[in-house]
Amino acid sequence: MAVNIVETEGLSKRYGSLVALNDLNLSIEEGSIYGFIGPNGAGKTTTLKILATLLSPSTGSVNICGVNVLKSPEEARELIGYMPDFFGVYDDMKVWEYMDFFGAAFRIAKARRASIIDDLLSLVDLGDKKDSYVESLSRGMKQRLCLARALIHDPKLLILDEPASGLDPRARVEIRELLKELKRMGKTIIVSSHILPELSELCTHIGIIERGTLLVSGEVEKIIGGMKVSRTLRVKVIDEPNAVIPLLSERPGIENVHVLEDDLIEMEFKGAEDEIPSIHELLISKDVKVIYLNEVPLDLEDVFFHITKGTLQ
Amino acid sequence: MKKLIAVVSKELRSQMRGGRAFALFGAYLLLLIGFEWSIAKVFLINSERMGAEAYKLGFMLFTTLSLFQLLLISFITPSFTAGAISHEKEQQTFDLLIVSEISPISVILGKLVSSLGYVFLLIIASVPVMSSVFLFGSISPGDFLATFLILIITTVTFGSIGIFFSSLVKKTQVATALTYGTVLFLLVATLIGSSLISTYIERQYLMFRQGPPPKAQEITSMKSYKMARFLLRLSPINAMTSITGMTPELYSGGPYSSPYSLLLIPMPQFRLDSMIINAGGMEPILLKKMIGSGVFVDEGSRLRGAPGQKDEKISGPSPDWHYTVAIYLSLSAVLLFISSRLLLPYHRWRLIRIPFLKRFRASPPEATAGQES
Repeated sequence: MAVNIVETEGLSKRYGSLVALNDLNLSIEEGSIYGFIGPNGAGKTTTLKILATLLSPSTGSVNICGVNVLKSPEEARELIGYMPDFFGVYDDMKVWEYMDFFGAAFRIAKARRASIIDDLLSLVDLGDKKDSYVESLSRGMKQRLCLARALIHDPKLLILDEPASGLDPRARVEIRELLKELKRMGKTIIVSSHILPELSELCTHIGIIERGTLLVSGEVEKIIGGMKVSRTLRVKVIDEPNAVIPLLSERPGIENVHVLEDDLIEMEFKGAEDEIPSIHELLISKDVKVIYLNEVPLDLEDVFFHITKGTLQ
Repeated sequence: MKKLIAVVSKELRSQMRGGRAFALFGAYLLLLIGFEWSIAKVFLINSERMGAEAYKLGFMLFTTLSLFQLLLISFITPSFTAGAISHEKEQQTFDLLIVSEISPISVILGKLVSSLGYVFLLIIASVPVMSSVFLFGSISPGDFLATFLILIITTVTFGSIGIFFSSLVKKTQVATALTYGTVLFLLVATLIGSSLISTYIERQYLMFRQGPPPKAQEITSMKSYKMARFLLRLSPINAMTSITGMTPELYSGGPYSSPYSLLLIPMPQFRLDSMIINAGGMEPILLKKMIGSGVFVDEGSRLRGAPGQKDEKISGPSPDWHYTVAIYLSLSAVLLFISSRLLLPYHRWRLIRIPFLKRFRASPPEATAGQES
């Protein structure tokens, strides 16, 4: 049984009549990468700021590794590495000076600081930029520097608010690889985004939030598995695909059969996984030469749209 | 302490880098020297009329230079501190400071020390320029030290005002405007205010009075007089002039004859020969006038002899700059404390965890109550 590193109970935040967060109950397992997904203004940043001790909720409680964040923010800060949704760098400093300052800010002894900074800078691939001014770095580099800064006190939990926003595709891939590396190092990571593809490959767990309400939260696979009503199947045949359509449409459970651009036949199948071979058998029995038949896996985007569709208006 | 040093060294790194700091340094000293030179020049031009005794020149140079420096410092200090915190908010590094383990008070003091460190450097660098007055006599080392003490205390206070507004508002521009506004109030409005009040006392109370002139206590016990006196004690200009005990009385035509007298800004024309001087520096001019005309001598007054003669001190209240130093130090401490609390994201005013006070606590009681067990 995995230990929950973050636990929130009935977390709400109101600004006057505006409800930014509504009764958020969040549990995040140790060692997971938790993707926090929602459109802009859904309450992601509010939640992350509360976790990072920067905002107090109107009601509710937050525990990180058993520390009550609202009561002992100082203690909680030792456990958290926080990266806001902007760079937060001092432009007029050198890269090592920036790191050194935060090292000192986290009470790391001067003798240890230099080697920690070297290690972190090489982890984020900025080793050769140590003596450069922060302002001379590209966006991607600044973001990686910011990540290195968040890691300087070796926190258990990383809270990353939109780490890939504004980055070019290459820099996004770099950040993604870095996060995977950090997971291997045993860190728990909460990462928020409003861009789904960013997270789909990365996260072990997701939470979808809209208008301050957490719609769903848990392991990615379970969420995807749990919401499957129909499966999307694709068949590639040697014969003329249009000739196969009537054959498939007649079978109960198969709907919406159509041909895609590259002569692939796509259909929706309402049935269990173990019924899929029977479709294969049906085609072969009718002398259709099948190259392959497979199921299109649902991605987070489908999950997101399925879950947010019509849930809250 | 280590974290305080971390903030200071970070700040100094960005501040002293490049030529800007040194350019300002040079410009400041050049300005002081230029000012001193022109005062001496004016003195020499007027020497036929006024007499060119060296002690007069020394006194004039010292008073005007220290006031000039006070004004320079008053304008430089806010520019260093008014952005200290708000700039962090603007470049979005504020949150990072807060989530680090630096305590708010370390942030505040670190910012103050690093921004004022540079201003102190300017003040220290001015010592050789200022000490040129010793060549002419008439200024005691005690007066000299007190002047620098006031310069430093004023710098700390104006710096604290800057830090306070910087913590209070989000934008540096707003913080700067508010800081300069407050500094201007302390520099000028206090003098104008006290001058207006003393005029009011004169018009309302004395002008049409029959019989003998009032005793000093009769006036000093008036509320409006106390107010004028308090306003004066808020003014660093007043504090500075109270060191040497010089009054800003003008030569001819009474106190309201020149535009400077309205501001009570002492011009380099003092009554140097018959120096009857009040301990209060620039006390409301009304009182000054009466002292000057010998109606009465205030308890706190002292007689300062011309050079060569011994000062005669009459026991009484301390000179105004003592009050100003005390007020400014307390004001700085309060402002810095409030600023440090303003940095906290929440629980800003939960200072003492007294069980009695806990029940009045507003923020999340129901949520945390369960956690306590």
